Amino acid sequence: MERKWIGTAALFVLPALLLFITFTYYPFIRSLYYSFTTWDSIRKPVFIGLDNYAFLFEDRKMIAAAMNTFKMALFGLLIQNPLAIWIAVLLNRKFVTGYFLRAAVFFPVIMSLVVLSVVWSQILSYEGTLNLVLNQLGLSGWVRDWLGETNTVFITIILLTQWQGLGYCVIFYLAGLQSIPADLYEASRIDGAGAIQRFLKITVPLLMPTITIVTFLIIVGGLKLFDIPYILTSGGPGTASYTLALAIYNAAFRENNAGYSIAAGVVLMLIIMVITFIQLQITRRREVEM
Amino acid sequence: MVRKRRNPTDIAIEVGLFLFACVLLYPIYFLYVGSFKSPAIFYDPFAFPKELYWGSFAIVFEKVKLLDGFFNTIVIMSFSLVSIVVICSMAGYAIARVKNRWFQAIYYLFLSGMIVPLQTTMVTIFKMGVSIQLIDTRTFMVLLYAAGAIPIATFIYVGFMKSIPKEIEESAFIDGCGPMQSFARIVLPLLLPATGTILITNVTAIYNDFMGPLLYLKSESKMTLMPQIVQFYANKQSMDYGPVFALSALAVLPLILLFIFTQKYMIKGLIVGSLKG
Amino acid sequence: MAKQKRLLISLMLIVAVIMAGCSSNNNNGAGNATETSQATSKAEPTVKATGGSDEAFTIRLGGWFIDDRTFMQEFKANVEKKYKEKYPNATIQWDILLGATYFDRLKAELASNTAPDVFFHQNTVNQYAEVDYLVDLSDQPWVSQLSPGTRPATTVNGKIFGGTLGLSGAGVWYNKQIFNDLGLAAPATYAEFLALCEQIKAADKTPIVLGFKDTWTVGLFMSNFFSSVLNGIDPTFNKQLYDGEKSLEGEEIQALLNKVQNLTEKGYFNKTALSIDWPQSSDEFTSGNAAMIVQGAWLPGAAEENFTKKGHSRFDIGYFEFPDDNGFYSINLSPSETLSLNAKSKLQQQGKDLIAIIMNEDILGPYSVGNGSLPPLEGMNVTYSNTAMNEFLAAVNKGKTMYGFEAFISSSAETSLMETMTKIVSGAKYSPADLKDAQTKHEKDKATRVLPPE
Repeated sequence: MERKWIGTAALFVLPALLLFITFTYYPFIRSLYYSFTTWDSIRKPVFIGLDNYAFLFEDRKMIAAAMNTFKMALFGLLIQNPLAIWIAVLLNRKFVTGYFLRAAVFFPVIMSLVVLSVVWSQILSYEGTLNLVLNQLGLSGWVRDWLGETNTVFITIILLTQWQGLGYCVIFYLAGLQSIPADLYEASRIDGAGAIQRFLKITVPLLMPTITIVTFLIIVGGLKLFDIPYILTSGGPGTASYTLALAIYNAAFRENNAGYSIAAGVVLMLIIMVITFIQLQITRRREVEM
Repeated sequence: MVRKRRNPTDIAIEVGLFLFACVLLYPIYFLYVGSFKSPAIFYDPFAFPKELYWGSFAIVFEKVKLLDGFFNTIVIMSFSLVSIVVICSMAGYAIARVKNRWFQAIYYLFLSGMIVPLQTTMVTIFKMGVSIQLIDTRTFMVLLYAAGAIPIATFIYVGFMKSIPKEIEESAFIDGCGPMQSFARIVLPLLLPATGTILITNVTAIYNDFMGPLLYLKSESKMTLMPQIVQFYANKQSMDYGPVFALSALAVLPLILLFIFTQKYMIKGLIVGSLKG
Repeated sequence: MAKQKRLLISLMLIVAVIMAGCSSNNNNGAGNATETSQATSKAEPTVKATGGSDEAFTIRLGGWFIDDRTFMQEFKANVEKKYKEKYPNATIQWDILLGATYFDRLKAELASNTAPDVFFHQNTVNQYAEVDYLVDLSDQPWVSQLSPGTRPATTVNGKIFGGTLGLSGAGVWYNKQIFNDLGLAAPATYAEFLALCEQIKAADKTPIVLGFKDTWTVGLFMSNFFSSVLNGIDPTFNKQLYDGEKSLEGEEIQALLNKVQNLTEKGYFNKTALSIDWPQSSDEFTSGNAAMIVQGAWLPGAAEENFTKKGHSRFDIGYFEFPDDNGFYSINLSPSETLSLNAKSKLQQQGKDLIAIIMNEDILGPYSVGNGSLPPLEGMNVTYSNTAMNEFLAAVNKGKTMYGFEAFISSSAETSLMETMTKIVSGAKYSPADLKDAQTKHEKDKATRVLPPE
């Protein structure tokens, strides 16, 4: 029985494995060699050893991009994640407008990047809605080109990722919350536990598996952030809104440096591996404890 | 359920959330109002069109083959979703049930796919598409999307399988069902909540992708919606933002409608408990 | 039950498709194991081109710029009409992908032998010729007519690998009405330029409008702002930059960036500089809010469209190029769209004929007028419909024309400088480290830059 089952199980995994190796791993591994070359992706690559990797640590744009990328991941971890849990807990009640509220939180998720860029660049531009509102409120000191100043651009981009990403996390947490049996809360209420205690003693531990996944997705998403700066600022002004993924893309497609770009890609992959490994160790342990 | 009395805190929370929701929705409001604004008032953000201006939509319909784009998007999306669900649920089921080093290794291989940088592999993927004679076909897009979704989808299915007691399939085995049958009849329906989560995450990703179709599709007759917007926008030399808004508004509409009609299932039914990591 | 059957069938189908896909892919992997072998396993039915022009075929023509502008549509129609005269049963399939993604896809198509038979590209003649993607067109009739200015652009090792649709230049376009009202004239020196900016600003107009949301406009502005000064110092300055005799960290570049910083601090640019794109900046110009715009020679044509379509009140447009302190100016002229024949195309003769039809006065004339480019063939006389273009031509004939300095540094260094540029315009100060970054990248990636012809 067991033997036969392993054969079937292998057949079950096969399609995914083949598809995955063909379209994800094979192209990646094939491109690895080029990270040791100078290559414009047209002419013959010239082998240069580890120079590409070494230069990554001198390249000010890469360093700026790495700083931004970490800022993004950290923000996701420390602010986006708790905020999503909080909103999910709030939404997990009976509201007159509950339907509307959930829709509002989730709508930004389905908006495409292309549409997002069209709309937000109109709102955030120097003569856009936001600045007009600020002027009307008598806050003209706040008026600025939100995406056009080195000190505000990345904060603005982080907030935009929240606009789009928060709903995604909230949906996951809502699902997790609804799977917690209501009688657990009833029981603890009878025991005289307050709202905060109930949250810490019941909600958080039982939500831990969801927290593991969402944290993982937030970190990976943050470290791979590409599209919003790509489409709204191209990394500028200066290098103020570069992320690693965007710098990698530009190196390959705008600067004819495919080899360098692949080297940066490999390093980004290693960074993500290390960080997510640590994260999974930490959150998984919490799961086991409960 | 007994309807609870509403206390002031609840009302305050609801009002707070309502305001927050309005802020979140403002850009969408901005998009739809903008697409009905006449060119004269388009750049005045507070102006509200006194009457609906259809000129922007007229330009869109004249220049963009919207229905073709929509049809292609739907076709690619549906086939991709079916493939993802079938392939990944099978893989997730097998990985969760077979406690074997090899299967665990495959699992970690899949997971690592989430972090492979994809920006740099475009030329290789393109060449592959040519060599299997699938470049510029919707099939190729389906394969790409299915492959791209494997890491997260398998992750979710494997996690969810842990919450399904093994005894359920074992009883089916005893009843004389083969593994294939017991999977299709018993396990797949039980995986429905996880499937819901996977559908939600992939619908938007596939519907909104613009890079993939621009690179791997060529024929206008096969193009999807988002690249159509990108190309329409690239034509801006002689274009205003009004029609771009109108096209964007039209392109987003199907997803918004889909969400409105499935929200009940999405949140209440389908994804409840889908995340038993 | 039926449902289950369908499920099983679809499962099997998917597995089958994947298996098939993978096996043929493995074959390919083996064939491509050595990067240099370009062997194609596909049998190539050769179409005999015997001048028998009744054959029915479809020829693919790729490009990234043929959009809805009137002169582009006319260009398309003219080409089709002429080609029909030669091949009545032929169809031209226009493989148009607007924007930079076109070049990424073209690269992939060339590498996999699926590129269009005839295609447009830009600044890649050397690279593509080196790896044998392009057909030698030296024997074509139009080659002898190429003007001395365009011929080098497509010459590699003495052979011609393409035709260029023209030479495009850029510079500062100004609103003559605003200038007249304020009693201003085109500046002869940089000091005069600064003085008139001040007067325009005092009159509550934006002196110069920038549309830096489109990144290419940053490069265009930089190239034009730098060229007169650098060439004024030494006509071979750019070459010296490439060779390393001059440095991007040097005082010359620093002085130029200081000037840009000064312009920013004085408020001579629009505050929206980084949040609007090129069409919006042209709107600012044609609506009379801004007095000057730094753009390519397509600006007069685009302005004309704004005047007619958007109802902006019409004014005359003038042209000058940024002068240096001594009144010297030079204009950057670079080859615009280049047309080449794919070496892997099965329609060699038909492709050559298509290129010959396009590289002809009848087609290039109206195109040059619409695009604001200088025609590539000798003896071609083009009458531009607006005075601005004629001023531009006069400036070209009177002054020196050169390649921009960016043609002599690596793309990564150019990007780095452009980033410094947006940083300055955003109001932040640049630091010497920014220039060091550019110089380091130039030295590192020099090999990826193919120098323009002498």
